[in-house]
Amino acid sequence: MKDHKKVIPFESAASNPPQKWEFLSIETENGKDVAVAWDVEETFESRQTFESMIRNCRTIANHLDWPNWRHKMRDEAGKLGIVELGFKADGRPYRVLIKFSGRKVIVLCICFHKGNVWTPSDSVKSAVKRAKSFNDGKVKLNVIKIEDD
Amino acid sequence: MSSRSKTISLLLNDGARRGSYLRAKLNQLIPSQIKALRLRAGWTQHELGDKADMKQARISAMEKPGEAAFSLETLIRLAAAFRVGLQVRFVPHSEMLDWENRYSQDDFSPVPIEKDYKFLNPVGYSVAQQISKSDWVVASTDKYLKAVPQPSPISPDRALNTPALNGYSSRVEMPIEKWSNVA
Repeated sequence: MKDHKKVIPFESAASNPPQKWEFLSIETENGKDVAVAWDVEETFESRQTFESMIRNCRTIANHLDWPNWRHKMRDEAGKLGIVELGFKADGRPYRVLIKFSGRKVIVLCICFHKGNVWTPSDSVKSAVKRAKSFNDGKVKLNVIKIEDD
Repeated sequence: MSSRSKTISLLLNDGARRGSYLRAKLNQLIPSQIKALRLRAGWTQHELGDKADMKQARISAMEKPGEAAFSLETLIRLAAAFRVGLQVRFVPHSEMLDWENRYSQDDFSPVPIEKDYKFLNPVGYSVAQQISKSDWVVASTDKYLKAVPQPSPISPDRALNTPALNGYSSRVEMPIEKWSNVA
């Protein structure tokens, strides 16, 4: 009678969508993890939104379909492949500057950007510097942990 | 104290934080669903705007997390344009989190009304489901399959009055009786 049995997979085995991207953050030379100690003020809502963003984006195969995708940067940052992602929390325009490395996403800087104003004002410069350090293999990378996984 | 324990403590004791928590998730998941449905339909933002009677710029803002405030009416118009249903209900946090963890923009594809057979013909659908459940009993015995007369399509009215289709136990009896005759 064993042929008569229908195999029903457990729901948990097929529940979570596969992760197509891995999000990592850079640890700067002074030991600061940019996804733990942001370059701008972090609030409860912004942290939760940031984590929701990662949880969603990492399952979307085409990065251009990420809802948080803004644009590729111009000039030197653009040449280094730096991209701007965005989300809003507490009414503030948070921006996450990232760089791709295969299916890995390297978070370089979390800042604000509205119009032509970056906060902190050297956000792009910092991201460029960190991207160069990453290219030179001089930085330590940490996997970004999501609380509710 | 772990980071998650801290978050839970804040959520238990602070109503404003509970609001922030929900806002953070919805601000991400609503735009993501709109984008998923539009991409799946193969529409441009302009085309969706035409169907939902909104401007392209508004659609663009609604697909960016946190850029647009959603009223219930807006969501209803979008659901109508996408030809899908809309469910707004209060749930436990665990259920909300579970849904978020299982959600994937790439796989999100609620069927449009014209393909929603369960909605279009609920009785026929339940009969089809029940027949498919009994199929595994028949289909696994290939050598007898040819000898067993295949059930003819059953009308929903007839199916409801057929004891063999009302439960698993009676359903199993039907093919077994016939196999014994064949053997």
